Amino acid sequence: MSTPVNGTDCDAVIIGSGPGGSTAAHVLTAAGWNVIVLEKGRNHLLQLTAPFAPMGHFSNDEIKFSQRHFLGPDPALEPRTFRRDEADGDRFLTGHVNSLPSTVGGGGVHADGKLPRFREVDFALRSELGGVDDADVVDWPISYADLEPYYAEAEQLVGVSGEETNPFAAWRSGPYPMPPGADMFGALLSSAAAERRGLHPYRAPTGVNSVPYDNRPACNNCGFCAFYGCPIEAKGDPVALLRRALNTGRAQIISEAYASEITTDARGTRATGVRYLDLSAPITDSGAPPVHEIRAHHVVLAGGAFETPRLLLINELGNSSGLVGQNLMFHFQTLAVGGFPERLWGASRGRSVTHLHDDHIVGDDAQTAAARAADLPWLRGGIVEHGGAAGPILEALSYGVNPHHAASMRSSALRERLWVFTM
Amino acid sequence: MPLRLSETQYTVVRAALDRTVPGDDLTPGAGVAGGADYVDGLLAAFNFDPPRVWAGGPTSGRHGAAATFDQWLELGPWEERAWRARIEEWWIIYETGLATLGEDFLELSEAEQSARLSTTSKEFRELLFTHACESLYGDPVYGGNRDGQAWQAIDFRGDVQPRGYTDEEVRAP
Repeated sequence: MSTPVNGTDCDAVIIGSGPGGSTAAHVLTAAGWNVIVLEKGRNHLLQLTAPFAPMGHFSNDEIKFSQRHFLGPDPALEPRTFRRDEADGDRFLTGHVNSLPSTVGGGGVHADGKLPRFREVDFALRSELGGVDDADVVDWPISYADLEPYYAEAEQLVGVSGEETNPFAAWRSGPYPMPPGADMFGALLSSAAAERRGLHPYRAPTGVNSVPYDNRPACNNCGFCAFYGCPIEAKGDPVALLRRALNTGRAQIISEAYASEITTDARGTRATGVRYLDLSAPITDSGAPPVHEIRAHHVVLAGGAFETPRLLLINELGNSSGLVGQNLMFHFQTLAVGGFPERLWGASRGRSVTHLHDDHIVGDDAQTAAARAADLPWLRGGIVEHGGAAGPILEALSYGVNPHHAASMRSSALRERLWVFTM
Repeated sequence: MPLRLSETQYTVVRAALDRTVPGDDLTPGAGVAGGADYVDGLLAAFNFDPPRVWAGGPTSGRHGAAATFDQWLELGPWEERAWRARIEEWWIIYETGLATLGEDFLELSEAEQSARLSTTSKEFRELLFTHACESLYGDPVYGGNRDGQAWQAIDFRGDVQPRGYTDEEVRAP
Protein backbone atom coordinates (compact mmCIF):
# COMPACT_ATOMS: atom_id res chain seq x y z
CA MET A 1 0.00 0.00 0.00
CA SER A 2 1.23 3.49 -0.72
CA THR A 3 0.05 7.05 -0.40
CA PRO A 4 0.85 9.97 -2.65
CA VAL A 5 4.22 11.46 -1.80
CA ASN A 6 5.75 14.78 -2.74
CA GLY A 7 5.93 15.27 -6.43
CA THR A 8 3.06 12.99 -7.32
CA ASP A 9 -0.67 13.57 -7.62
CA CYS A 10 -1.81 10.03 -6.99
CA ASP A 11 -0.73 6.44 -6.63
CA ALA A 12 -2.08 5.53 -10.03
CA VAL A 13 -3.40 7.43 -12.99
CA ILE A 14 -5.77 5.34 -15.06
CA ILE A 15 -6.30 6.22 -18.71
CA GLY A 16 -9.83 5.25 -19.66
CA SER A 17 -13.02 4.86 -17.61
CA GLY A 18 -14.53 1.87 -19.42
CA PRO A 19 -14.78 -1.71 -18.20
CA GLY A 20 -10.99 -2.02 -17.80
CA GLY A 21 -10.31 1.34 -16.19
CA SER A 22 -13.29 1.13 -13.87
CA THR A 23 -12.20 -2.30 -12.67
CA ALA A 24 -8.69 -1.01 -12.00
CA ALA A 25 -10.14 1.99 -10.16
CA HIS A 26 -12.25 -0.27 -7.95
CA VAL A 27 -9.47 -2.73 -7.13
CA LEU A 28 -6.85 -0.08 -6.45
CA THR A 29 -9.06 2.16 -4.31
CA ALA A 30 -10.25 -0.89 -2.35
CA ALA A 31 -6.58 -1.55 -1.63
CA GLY A 32 -6.20 1.97 -0.28
CA TRP A 33 -4.60 3.64 -3.28
CA ASN A 34 -5.55 7.09 -4.52
CA VAL A 35 -6.34 7.08 -8.22
CA ILE A 36 -7.18 9.59 -10.92
CA VAL A 37 -9.18 8.29 -13.89
CA LEU A 38 -8.81 10.21 -17.16
CA GLU A 39 -11.59 9.93 -19.74
CA LYS A 40 -11.45 11.68 -23.11
CA GLY A 41 -15.22 11.84 -23.48
CA ARG A 42 -18.00 13.62 -21.64
CA ASN A 43 -19.60 12.44 -18.45
CA HIS A 44 -23.24 11.45 -18.90
CA LEU A 45 -23.06 8.51 -16.51
CA LEU A 46 -22.97 9.53 -12.89
CA GLN A 47 -22.55 12.62 -10.75
CA LEU A 48 -19.08 13.02 -9.31
CA THR A 49 -20.15 14.07 -5.82
CA ALA A 50 -21.71 11.76 -3.25
CA PRO A 51 -23.98 9.86 -3.52
CA PHE A 52 -22.83 9.67 -7.17
CA ALA A 53 -26.39 9.53 -8.51
CA PRO A 54 -27.19 8.97 -12.20
CA MET A 55 -26.81 12.06 -14.38
CA GLY A 56 -30.24 11.39 -15.87
CA HIS A 57 -29.01 12.00 -19.42
CA PHE A 58 -29.85 8.57 -20.84
CA SER A 59 -33.20 8.09 -22.52
CA ASN A 60 -35.01 5.93 -25.05
CA ASP A 61 -34.05 8.32 -27.86
CA GLU A 62 -32.81 6.91 -31.18
CA ILE A 63 -32.00 10.35 -32.58
CA LYS A 64 -29.62 11.25 -29.79
CA PHE A 65 -27.88 7.89 -29.56
CA SER A 66 -27.75 6.56 -33.11
CA GLN A 67 -27.88 9.73 -35.23
CA ARG A 68 -26.25 12.50 -33.20
CA HIS A 69 -23.10 10.96 -31.72
CA PHE A 70 -24.28 11.43 -28.14
CA LEU A 71 -21.84 8.91 -26.67
CA GLY A 72 -19.13 9.85 -29.12
CA PRO A 73 -16.83 9.71 -30.79
CA ASP A 74 -18.06 12.50 -33.01
CA PRO A 75 -16.40 11.69 -36.34
CA ALA A 76 -15.71 15.40 -36.81
CA LEU A 77 -13.71 15.48 -33.59
CA GLU A 78 -12.15 12.04 -33.55
CA PRO A 79 -12.10 10.92 -37.18
CA ARG A 80 -11.11 7.27 -37.47
CA THR A 81 -9.38 6.06 -40.57
CA PHE A 82 -9.04 2.70 -42.22
CA ARG A 83 -6.88 1.33 -45.00
CA ARG A 84 -6.78 -2.18 -46.38
CA ASP A 85 -3.11 -2.00 -47.22
CA GLU A 86 -0.44 0.50 -48.16
CA ALA A 87 -1.79 0.78 -51.70
CA ASP A 88 -4.72 2.73 -50.26
CA GLY A 89 -2.38 5.57 -49.24
CA ASP A 90 -2.91 7.17 -45.86
CA ARG A 91 -6.55 6.22 -45.70
CA PHE A 92 -9.24 4.39 -47.61
CA LEU A 93 -12.05 5.63 -45.41
CA THR A 94 -12.50 8.32 -42.77
CA GLY A 95 -15.39 8.45 -40.34
CA HIS A 96 -16.99 5.84 -38.15
CA VAL A 97 -14.43 3.05 -38.23
CA ASN A 98 -14.49 0.64 -35.28
CA SER A 99 -15.80 3.45 -33.12
CA LEU A 100 -16.35 2.74 -29.44
CA PRO A 101 -18.08 5.25 -27.18
CA SER A 102 -15.96 8.18 -26.07
CA THR A 103 -17.70 8.82 -22.77
CA VAL A 104 -17.38 8.14 -19.05
CA GLY A 105 -17.99 4.40 -18.83
CA GLY A 106 -16.56 3.77 -22.30
CA GLY A 107 -17.86 0.84 -24.31
CA GLY A 108 -19.71 -0.52 -21.31
CA VAL A 109 -22.29 2.24 -21.63
CA HIS A 110 -23.71 1.18 -24.99
CA ALA A 111 -23.03 -2.55 -24.77
CA ASP A 112 -25.97 -4.83 -24.09
CA GLY A 113 -23.69 -6.58 -21.63
CA LYS A 114 -23.35 -10.14 -22.90
CA LEU A 115 -20.61 -11.45 -20.60
CA PRO A 116 -19.68 -15.07 -21.36
CA ARG A 117 -16.40 -16.39 -20.00
CA PHE A 118 -13.57 -17.77 -22.09
CA ARG A 119 -13.22 -21.53 -22.04
CA GLU A 120 -10.21 -23.53 -20.81
CA VAL A 121 -8.97 -24.19 -24.35
CA ASP A 122 -9.02 -20.48 -25.21
CA PHE A 123 -6.01 -20.03 -22.92
CA ALA A 124 -4.02 -22.80 -24.57
CA LEU A 125 -4.83 -22.69 -28.27
CA ARG A 126 -1.32 -23.45 -29.43
CA SER A 127 -0.71 -26.41 -27.17
CA GLU A 128 -4.22 -27.79 -27.65
CA LEU A 129 -4.80 -27.12 -31.35
CA GLY A 130 -1.38 -26.28 -32.79
CA GLY A 131 0.14 -23.40 -34.70
CA VAL A 132 -1.05 -22.03 -38.02
CA ASP A 133 1.31 -20.92 -40.79
CA ASP A 134 1.48 -17.13 -41.21
CA ALA A 135 -0.47 -16.59 -37.99
CA ASP A 136 0.61 -15.97 -34.42
CA VAL A 137 -1.10 -18.56 -32.29
CA VAL A 138 0.19 -18.55 -28.72
CA ASP A 139 -0.88 -19.83 -25.33
CA TRP A 140 -1.76 -17.35 -22.63
CA PRO A 141 0.76 -17.20 -19.78
CA ILE A 142 -2.12 -17.99 -17.40
CA SER A 143 -4.78 -20.66 -17.42
CA TYR A 144 -8.52 -20.55 -16.98
CA ALA A 145 -8.04 -21.94 -13.47
CA ASP A 146 -5.83 -18.96 -12.63
CA LEU A 147 -8.49 -16.55 -13.81
CA GLU A 148 -11.64 -18.28 -12.57
CA PRO A 149 -11.75 -16.59 -9.13
CA TYR A 150 -11.50 -13.21 -10.84
CA TYR A 151 -14.29 -14.06 -13.28
CA ALA A 152 -16.41 -14.99 -10.27
CA GLU A 153 -15.58 -11.75 -8.47
CA ALA A 154 -16.20 -9.61 -11.57
CA GLU A 155 -19.56 -11.26 -12.15
CA GLN A 156 -20.54 -10.46 -8.56
CA LEU A 157 -19.38 -6.85 -8.85
CA VAL A 158 -20.98 -6.09 -12.20
CA GLY A 159 -24.04 -8.21 -11.54
CA VAL A 160 -24.41 -10.94 -14.16
CA SER A 161 -27.61 -12.86 -14.75
CA GLY A 162 -27.34 -16.31 -16.26
CA GLU A 163 -27.74 -20.06 -15.84
CA GLU A 164 -25.45 -23.07 -16.13
CA THR A 165 -26.98 -24.87 -19.09
CA ASN A 166 -24.32 -24.32 -21.75
CA PRO A 167 -22.65 -27.72 -22.23
CA PHE A 168 -19.55 -26.08 -23.74
CA ALA A 169 -18.96 -23.59 -20.92
CA ALA A 170 -15.94 -23.77 -18.66
CA TRP A 171 -16.40 -24.94 -15.07
CA ARG A 172 -17.55 -22.44 -12.49
CA SER A 173 -16.82 -22.18 -8.78
CA GLY A 174 -20.31 -20.86 -8.09
CA PRO A 175 -23.61 -19.90 -9.63
CA TYR A 176 -24.39 -16.65 -11.42
CA PRO A 177 -25.43 -13.93 -8.99
CA MET A 178 -28.83 -13.56 -10.66
CA PRO A 179 -31.19 -15.79 -12.65
CA PRO A 180 -31.61 -15.02 -16.39
CA GLY A 181 -33.91 -12.20 -17.46
CA ALA A 182 -36.95 -12.57 -19.70
CA ASP A 183 -36.50 -14.64 -22.87
CA MET A 184 -37.24 -12.65 -26.02
CA PHE A 185 -40.00 -14.17 -28.14
CA GLY A 186 -37.80 -14.40 -31.23
CA ALA A 187 -35.08 -16.11 -29.23
CA LEU A 188 -37.53 -18.76 -28.07
CA LEU A 189 -38.33 -19.49 -31.74
CA SER A 190 -34.71 -19.51 -32.85
CA SER A 191 -33.56 -21.54 -29.85
CA ALA A 192 -36.19 -24.18 -30.51
CA ALA A 193 -35.10 -24.28 -34.15
CA ALA A 194 -31.45 -24.55 -33.13
CA GLU A 195 -32.24 -27.44 -30.80
CA ARG A 196 -34.04 -29.25 -33.60
CA ARG A 197 -30.77 -29.00 -35.54
CA GLY A 198 -28.86 -30.57 -32.66
CA LEU A 199 -27.35 -27.30 -31.44
CA HIS A 200 -27.19 -26.23 -27.79
CA PRO A 201 -28.62 -22.74 -27.25
CA TYR A 202 -28.56 -21.29 -23.75
CA ARG A 203 -29.63 -18.12 -21.98
CA ALA A 204 -26.91 -15.51 -22.40
CA PRO A 205 -24.92 -14.45 -19.35
CA THR A 206 -25.81 -10.78 -19.25
CA GLY A 207 -24.56 -7.90 -17.13
CA VAL A 208 -28.08 -6.57 -16.76
CA ASN A 209 -30.10 -6.96 -13.58
CA SER A 210 -32.93 -9.50 -13.77
CA VAL A 211 -33.84 -8.70 -10.17
CA PRO A 212 -32.95 -5.68 -8.01
CA TYR A 213 -29.23 -5.95 -7.30
CA ASP A 214 -26.52 -3.73 -5.84
CA ASN A 215 -29.04 -0.92 -5.17
CA ARG A 216 -29.95 -0.84 -8.87
CA PRO A 217 -33.36 -1.92 -10.22
CA ALA A 218 -34.24 -4.88 -12.42
CA CYS A 219 -34.29 -4.30 -16.17
CA ASN A 220 -37.76 -3.29 -17.36
CA ASN A 221 -37.25 -4.70 -20.89
CA CYS A 222 -37.60 -1.27 -22.55
CA GLY A 223 -35.97 -2.49 -25.77
CA PHE A 224 -33.34 0.26 -25.96
CA CYS A 225 -30.42 -1.88 -24.86
CA ALA A 226 -27.58 -2.38 -27.36
CA PHE A 227 -26.21 1.04 -28.39
CA TYR A 228 -28.01 2.89 -25.58
CA GLY A 229 -27.09 4.05 -22.10
CA CYS A 230 -29.48 2.51 -19.59
CA PRO A 231 -31.85 5.14 -18.13
CA ILE A 232 -32.46 3.10 -14.98
CA GLU A 233 -28.95 1.66 -14.39
CA ALA A 234 -30.05 -1.93 -14.85
CA LYS A 235 -26.75 -2.40 -16.72
CA GLY A 236 -24.00 -2.87 -14.16
CA ASP A 237 -20.91 -2.42 -16.28
CA PRO A 238 -19.13 -0.13 -15.60
CA VAL A 239 -21.26 2.12 -13.41
CA ALA A 240 -21.19 -0.34 -10.49
CA LEU A 241 -17.40 -0.34 -10.36
CA LEU A 242 -16.96 3.39 -10.87
CA ARG A 243 -19.45 4.15 -8.12
CA ARG A 244 -17.67 1.74 -5.76
CA ALA A 245 -14.36 3.45 -6.48
CA LEU A 246 -15.84 6.91 -5.95
CA ASN A 247 -17.48 5.81 -2.70
CA THR A 248 -14.06 5.14 -1.17
CA GLY A 249 -13.24 8.83 -1.48
CA ARG A 250 -9.96 7.84 -3.11
CA ALA A 251 -10.97 8.11 -6.78
CA GLN A 252 -11.28 11.17 -8.94
CA ILE A 253 -12.68 11.03 -12.48
CA ILE A 254 -11.61 13.76 -14.90
CA SER A 255 -13.67 13.74 -18.08
CA GLU A 256 -12.85 15.56 -21.34
CA ALA A 257 -9.22 14.74 -20.56
CA TYR A 258 -7.52 13.40 -23.70
CA ALA A 259 -4.33 11.58 -22.75
CA SER A 260 -1.67 12.48 -25.29
CA GLU A 261 1.65 11.65 -23.71
CA ILE A 262 3.00 9.20 -21.18
CA THR A 263 5.87 10.82 -19.32
CA THR A 264 8.84 8.72 -18.29
CA ASP A 265 11.96 8.96 -16.20
CA ALA A 266 15.20 10.09 -17.80
CA ARG A 267 16.07 6.57 -18.93
CA GLY A 268 12.71 6.15 -20.55
CA THR A 269 12.10 2.88 -18.78
CA ARG A 270 9.56 3.87 -16.15
CA ALA A 271 6.30 5.75 -16.67
CA THR A 272 5.98 8.72 -14.33
CA GLY A 273 2.67 10.20 -15.36
CA VAL A 274 0.42 11.43 -18.13
CA ARG A 275 -0.05 14.66 -20.01
CA TYR A 276 -3.54 15.32 -21.28
CA LEU A 277 -5.42 17.86 -23.34
CA ASP A 278 -8.12 19.61 -21.33
CA LEU A 279 -11.10 19.50 -23.69
CA SER A 280 -13.40 21.10 -21.11
CA ALA A 281 -11.63 24.47 -21.37
CA PRO A 282 -13.10 27.15 -23.63
CA ILE A 283 -11.51 27.01 -27.06
CA THR A 284 -8.89 29.73 -27.51
CA ASP A 285 -7.91 31.54 -30.71
CA SER A 286 -4.99 29.18 -31.20
CA GLY A 287 -7.33 26.20 -31.01
CA ALA A 288 -4.81 24.39 -28.83
CA PRO A 289 -6.36 22.95 -25.66
CA PRO A 290 -4.49 23.53 -22.37
CA VAL A 291 -2.16 20.69 -21.46
CA HIS A 292 -2.12 19.40 -17.90
CA GLU A 293 0.16 16.85 -16.32
CA ILE A 294 -0.57 14.22 -13.70
CA ARG A 295 2.35 12.59 -11.96
CA ALA A 296 1.77 9.17 -10.49
CA HIS A 297 3.62 6.17 -9.11
CA HIS A 298 1.83 3.97 -11.61
CA VAL A 299 0.19 4.49 -14.98
CA VAL A 300 -2.62 2.14 -15.97
CA LEU A 301 -3.44 2.01 -19.68
CA ALA A 302 -7.10 1.08 -20.06
CA GLY A 303 -8.02 2.85 -23.27
CA GLY A 304 -9.32 -0.20 -25.06
CA ALA A 305 -8.05 -2.25 -27.98
CA PHE A 306 -7.41 0.79 -30.19
CA GLU A 307 -6.50 3.68 -27.95
CA THR A 308 -4.10 1.79 -25.69
CA PRO A 309 -1.91 0.50 -28.57
CA ARG A 310 -2.13 3.93 -30.19
CA LEU A 311 -0.84 5.64 -27.05
CA LEU A 312 1.99 3.13 -26.75
CA LEU A 313 2.95 3.47 -30.40
CA ILE A 314 2.92 7.29 -30.55
CA ASN A 315 4.91 7.37 -27.31
CA GLU A 316 7.25 4.62 -28.55
CA LEU A 317 6.78 2.68 -25.33
CA GLY A 318 6.25 -0.90 -24.28
CA ASN A 319 6.77 -2.48 -27.67
CA SER A 320 9.91 -4.58 -27.27
CA SER A 321 7.94 -7.47 -28.77
CA GLY A 322 6.97 -5.49 -31.87
CA LEU A 323 3.46 -6.89 -31.40
CA VAL A 324 1.68 -3.80 -30.06
CA GLY A 325 -1.22 -3.01 -32.38
CA GLN A 326 -0.71 -6.19 -34.39
CA ASN A 327 -3.14 -9.11 -34.86
CA LEU A 328 -6.06 -7.01 -33.71
CA MET A 329 -9.49 -8.44 -34.37
CA PHE A 330 -12.30 -6.12 -33.36
CA HIS A 331 -15.89 -7.24 -33.13
CA PHE A 332 -15.60 -9.11 -36.41
CA GLN A 333 -19.15 -10.20 -37.03
CA THR A 334 -20.85 -12.41 -39.56
CA LEU A 335 -24.62 -12.13 -39.76
CA ALA A 336 -27.33 -14.48 -40.91
CA VAL A 337 -30.77 -12.92 -40.94
CA GLY A 338 -34.20 -14.47 -41.25
CA GLY A 339 -37.56 -12.94 -42.12
CA PHE A 340 -40.67 -14.07 -40.26
CA PRO A 341 -44.37 -13.89 -41.10
CA GLU A 342 -45.24 -12.59 -37.63
CA ARG A 343 -43.96 -9.65 -35.60
CA LEU A 344 -41.28 -10.76 -33.17
CA TRP A 345 -40.95 -7.47 -31.26
CA GLY A 346 -37.23 -8.13 -31.09
CA ALA A 347 -36.36 -4.53 -31.93
CA SER A 348 -38.50 -2.97 -29.24
CA ARG A 349 -38.81 -5.31 -26.26
CA GLY A 350 -36.17 -6.97 -24.15
CA ARG A 351 -32.40 -6.73 -23.98
CA SER A 352 -31.44 -7.01 -27.68
CA VAL A 353 -30.06 -10.55 -27.36
CA THR A 354 -31.11 -13.21 -24.84
CA HIS A 355 -29.78 -16.52 -26.22
CA LEU A 356 -26.44 -17.78 -27.52
CA HIS A 357 -24.97 -21.01 -28.81
CA ASP A 358 -21.33 -22.09 -28.79
CA ASP A 359 -21.45 -25.19 -31.01
CA HIS A 360 -19.41 -23.60 -33.81
CA ILE A 361 -16.54 -22.88 -31.43
CA VAL A 362 -16.26 -26.58 -30.76
CA GLY A 363 -16.90 -27.48 -34.38
CA ASP A 364 -18.13 -30.58 -36.12
CA ASP A 365 -17.16 -32.78 -39.08
CA ALA A 366 -18.29 -30.15 -41.59
CA GLN A 367 -16.08 -27.56 -39.92
CA THR A 368 -13.13 -29.93 -39.99
CA ALA A 369 -13.74 -30.60 -43.67
CA ALA A 370 -13.98 -26.86 -44.37
CA ALA A 371 -10.65 -26.33 -42.63
CA ARG A 372 -9.06 -29.08 -44.69
CA ALA A 373 -10.48 -27.61 -47.91
CA ALA A 374 -8.99 -24.23 -46.97
CA ASP A 375 -5.66 -25.89 -46.24
CA LEU A 376 -5.84 -24.89 -42.60
CA PRO A 377 -4.99 -27.18 -39.68
CA TRP A 378 -8.16 -26.16 -37.83
CA LEU A 379 -11.03 -23.70 -37.83
CA ARG A 380 -12.94 -22.29 -34.90
CA GLY A 381 -16.12 -20.30 -35.06
CA GLY A 382 -17.42 -17.94 -32.40
CA ILE A 383 -20.35 -17.53 -30.08
CA VAL A 384 -23.60 -17.05 -31.99
CA GLU A 385 -26.04 -14.46 -30.68
CA HIS A 386 -29.77 -14.82 -31.28
CA GLY A 387 -31.01 -11.26 -31.46
CA GLY A 388 -33.34 -8.61 -32.80
CA ALA A 389 -32.85 -5.71 -35.17
CA ALA A 390 -32.31 -1.98 -34.58
CA GLY A 391 -34.70 0.95 -34.20
CA PRO A 392 -37.21 2.47 -36.60
CA ILE A 393 -34.95 5.29 -37.84
CA LEU A 394 -32.29 2.85 -38.98
CA GLU A 395 -35.00 0.73 -40.59
CA ALA A 396 -36.44 3.80 -42.35
CA LEU A 397 -32.99 4.71 -43.68
CA SER A 398 -32.50 1.21 -45.03
CA TYR A 399 -35.54 1.38 -47.34
CA GLY A 400 -34.23 4.37 -49.30
CA VAL A 401 -36.43 6.79 -51.19
CA ASN A 402 -39.39 4.82 -52.52
CA PRO A 403 -43.11 5.44 -52.93
CA HIS A 404 -44.02 2.54 -50.63
CA HIS A 405 -41.84 3.63 -47.74
CA ALA A 406 -44.76 4.01 -45.32
CA ALA A 407 -46.12 0.53 -46.11
CA SER A 408 -42.64 -0.99 -45.77
CA MET A 409 -42.30 0.55 -42.33
CA ARG A 410 -45.65 -0.82 -41.21
CA SER A 411 -44.91 -4.37 -42.36
CA SER A 412 -41.40 -3.97 -40.89
CA ALA A 413 -39.63 -6.77 -42.70
CA LEU A 414 -36.27 -5.34 -41.60
CA ARG A 415 -37.13 -4.67 -37.99
CA GLU A 416 -40.00 -6.38 -36.20
CA ARG A 417 -40.12 -9.37 -38.57
CA LEU A 418 -36.37 -9.82 -38.66
CA TRP A 419 -34.26 -12.11 -36.52
CA VAL A 420 -30.48 -12.16 -36.61
CA PHE A 421 -27.82 -14.72 -35.85
CA THR A 422 -24.53 -12.94 -35.24
CA MET A 423 -21.24 -14.79 -34.94
CA MET B 1 -43.05 31.18 -37.65
CA PRO B 2 -39.95 29.21 -38.60
CA LEU B 3 -36.80 29.90 -36.61
CA ARG B 4 -34.20 29.99 -39.36
CA LEU B 5 -35.82 29.03 -42.65
CA SER B 6 -37.86 31.71 -44.40
CA GLU B 7 -41.61 31.11 -44.59
CA THR B 8 -41.19 30.09 -48.23
CA GLN B 9 -38.23 27.81 -47.52
CA TYR B 10 -40.19 26.21 -44.69
CA THR B 11 -43.13 25.30 -46.90
CA VAL B 12 -40.83 24.03 -49.66
CA VAL B 13 -38.95 21.85 -47.15
CA ARG B 14 -42.26 20.46 -45.92
CA ALA B 15 -43.36 19.53 -49.43
CA ALA B 16 -39.94 18.13 -50.35
CA LEU B 17 -39.98 15.95 -47.23
CA ASP B 18 -43.40 14.63 -48.21
CA ARG B 19 -42.09 13.73 -51.67
CA THR B 20 -39.00 12.06 -50.15
CA VAL B 21 -40.74 9.94 -47.49
CA PRO B 22 -44.37 10.13 -48.57
CA GLY B 23 -47.35 9.21 -46.47
CA ASP B 24 -50.40 7.17 -47.36
CA ASP B 25 -53.81 6.72 -45.81
CA LEU B 26 -52.35 5.16 -42.64
CA THR B 27 -49.04 6.95 -42.12
CA PRO B 28 -48.38 10.69 -42.43
CA GLY B 29 -45.69 11.94 -44.79
CA ALA B 30 -42.49 13.23 -43.21
CA GLY B 31 -43.44 16.83 -43.99
CA VAL B 32 -47.07 16.68 -42.90
CA ALA B 33 -45.95 15.15 -39.60
CA GLY B 34 -43.77 18.14 -38.73
CA GLY B 35 -40.54 17.35 -40.54
CA ALA B 36 -40.01 20.99 -41.52
CA ASP B 37 -40.09 21.87 -37.82
CA TYR B 38 -37.46 19.17 -37.28
CA VAL B 39 -35.20 20.60 -40.00
CA ASP B 40 -35.79 24.20 -38.98
CA GLY B 41 -35.22 23.35 -35.32
CA LEU B 42 -31.96 21.58 -36.14
CA LEU B 43 -30.69 24.43 -38.32
CA ALA B 44 -31.61 26.85 -35.49
CA ALA B 45 -30.36 24.62 -32.68
CA PHE B 46 -27.97 27.31 -31.47
CA ASN B 47 -30.76 29.87 -31.11
CA PHE B 48 -31.22 28.20 -27.74
CA ASP B 49 -29.09 27.63 -24.68
CA PRO B 50 -28.52 24.75 -24.23
CA PRO B 51 -28.63 24.14 -27.98
CA ARG B 52 -31.37 21.81 -29.16
CA VAL B 53 -29.10 18.99 -30.29
CA TRP B 54 -29.57 16.37 -27.57
CA ALA B 55 -32.85 16.03 -25.73
CA GLY B 56 -32.54 15.33 -22.04
CA GLY B 57 -33.01 12.32 -19.84
CA PRO B 58 -35.93 9.98 -19.34
CA THR B 59 -39.44 11.11 -18.64
CA SER B 60 -39.56 8.69 -15.76
CA GLY B 61 -37.59 10.45 -13.09
CA ARG B 62 -37.00 6.91 -11.88
CA HIS B 63 -33.98 5.75 -9.90
CA GLY B 64 -32.81 9.12 -8.69
CA ALA B 65 -32.78 11.02 -11.96
CA ALA B 66 -35.04 13.99 -12.63
CA ALA B 67 -37.73 13.88 -15.32
CA THR B 68 -35.96 16.00 -17.89
CA PHE B 69 -36.77 14.69 -21.35
CA ASP B 70 -37.93 18.11 -22.55
CA GLN B 71 -34.81 19.81 -21.20
CA TRP B 72 -31.80 19.89 -23.47
CA LEU B 73 -28.28 18.80 -22.62
CA GLU B 74 -25.23 21.03 -22.66
CA LEU B 75 -22.55 20.42 -25.28
CA GLY B 76 -18.86 20.54 -24.39
CA PRO B 77 -16.79 23.24 -26.11
CA TRP B 78 -15.48 20.90 -28.81
CA GLU B 79 -18.87 19.28 -29.34
CA GLU B 80 -20.31 22.75 -29.78
CA ARG B 81 -17.66 23.57 -32.38
CA ALA B 82 -18.36 20.34 -34.27
CA TRP B 83 -22.12 20.83 -34.20
CA ARG B 84 -21.93 24.49 -35.24
CA ALA B 85 -19.75 23.52 -38.21
CA ARG B 86 -21.98 20.57 -39.13
CA ILE B 87 -25.14 22.67 -38.98
CA GLU B 88 -23.58 25.44 -41.08
CA GLU B 89 -22.60 22.85 -43.71
CA TRP B 90 -26.19 21.60 -43.71
CA TRP B 91 -27.50 25.17 -43.91
CA ILE B 92 -25.52 25.73 -47.11
CA ILE B 93 -26.73 22.44 -48.56
CA TYR B 94 -30.34 23.36 -47.74
CA GLU B 95 -30.03 26.91 -49.12
CA THR B 96 -28.54 25.61 -52.36
CA GLY B 97 -30.99 22.74 -52.68
CA LEU B 98 -34.02 24.89 -51.92
CA ALA B 99 -32.86 27.46 -54.48
CA THR B 100 -32.76 24.67 -57.08
CA LEU B 101 -36.25 23.53 -56.12
CA GLY B 102 -37.44 27.10 -56.67
CA GLU B 103 -40.16 29.17 -55.09
CA ASP B 104 -42.70 27.73 -57.54
CA PHE B 105 -42.13 24.22 -56.13
CA LEU B 106 -45.45 24.27 -54.29
CA GLU B 107 -47.33 25.02 -57.48
CA LEU B 108 -46.07 21.86 -59.17
CA SER B 109 -47.89 18.54 -59.24
CA GLU B 110 -46.46 15.76 -57.07
CA ALA B 111 -44.89 14.14 -60.14
CA GLU B 112 -43.36 17.44 -61.18
CA GLN B 113 -42.07 17.98 -57.64
CA SER B 114 -40.36 14.60 -57.73
CA ALA B 115 -38.83 15.44 -61.10
CA ARG B 116 -37.59 18.78 -59.79
CA LEU B 117 -36.12 17.06 -56.73
CA SER B 118 -34.10 14.81 -59.01
CA THR B 119 -32.33 17.90 -60.41
CA THR B 120 -30.91 18.79 -56.98
CA SER B 121 -27.54 17.57 -55.75
CA LYS B 122 -27.12 14.04 -54.43
CA GLU B 123 -25.82 15.63 -51.23
CA PHE B 124 -29.07 17.56 -50.76
CA ARG B 125 -31.30 14.59 -51.51
CA GLU B 126 -29.38 12.36 -49.11
CA LEU B 127 -29.55 14.95 -46.33
CA LEU B 128 -33.25 15.49 -46.94
CA PHE B 129 -33.90 11.74 -46.85
CA THR B 130 -31.91 11.31 -43.64
CA HIS B 131 -33.76 14.16 -41.97
CA ALA B 132 -37.09 12.85 -43.26
CA CYS B 133 -36.45 9.46 -41.65
CA GLU B 134 -35.13 10.96 -38.41
CA SER B 135 -38.02 13.40 -38.09
CA LEU B 136 -40.78 10.94 -38.94
CA TYR B 137 -39.60 8.01 -36.84
CA GLY B 138 -37.68 9.83 -34.10
CA ASP B 139 -39.01 11.23 -30.87
CA PRO B 140 -41.57 14.05 -31.29
CA VAL B 141 -39.54 16.24 -28.92
CA TYR B 142 -37.32 17.05 -31.93
CA GLY B 143 -40.21 18.53 -33.90
CA GLY B 144 -41.23 15.76 -36.32
CA ASN B 145 -43.49 12.72 -35.81
CA ARG B 146 -46.18 15.06 -34.50
CA ASP B 147 -48.16 13.51 -31.64
CA GLY B 148 -46.30 10.26 -32.33
CA GLN B 149 -48.50 9.62 -35.39
CA ALA B 150 -45.83 7.72 -37.33
CA TRP B 151 -45.01 5.58 -34.27
CA GLN B 152 -48.69 4.73 -33.90
CA ALA B 153 -48.76 3.67 -37.56
CA ILE B 154 -45.89 1.21 -37.04
CA ASP B 155 -46.97 0.25 -33.50
CA PHE B 156 -43.80 1.57 -31.90
CA ARG B 157 -44.05 2.98 -28.40
CA GLY B 158 -40.87 5.07 -28.21
CA ASP B 159 -39.85 5.99 -24.68
CA VAL B 160 -41.62 3.40 -22.55
CA GLN B 161 -39.94 4.38 -19.28
CA PRO B 162 -40.71 3.91 -16.50
CA ARG B 163 -43.06 0.99 -17.15
CA GLY B 164 -41.19 -0.81 -19.89
CA TYR B 165 -42.57 -4.28 -20.65
CA THR B 166 -43.36 -7.13 -18.31
CA ASP B 167 -41.41 -10.36 -18.70
CA GLU B 168 -44.55 -11.93 -20.10
CA GLU B 169 -44.86 -9.23 -22.76
CA VAL B 170 -41.30 -10.01 -23.83
CA ARG B 171 -41.71 -13.80 -23.89
CA ALA B 172 -45.13 -13.92 -25.51
CA PRO B 173 -46.05 -10.59 -27.09
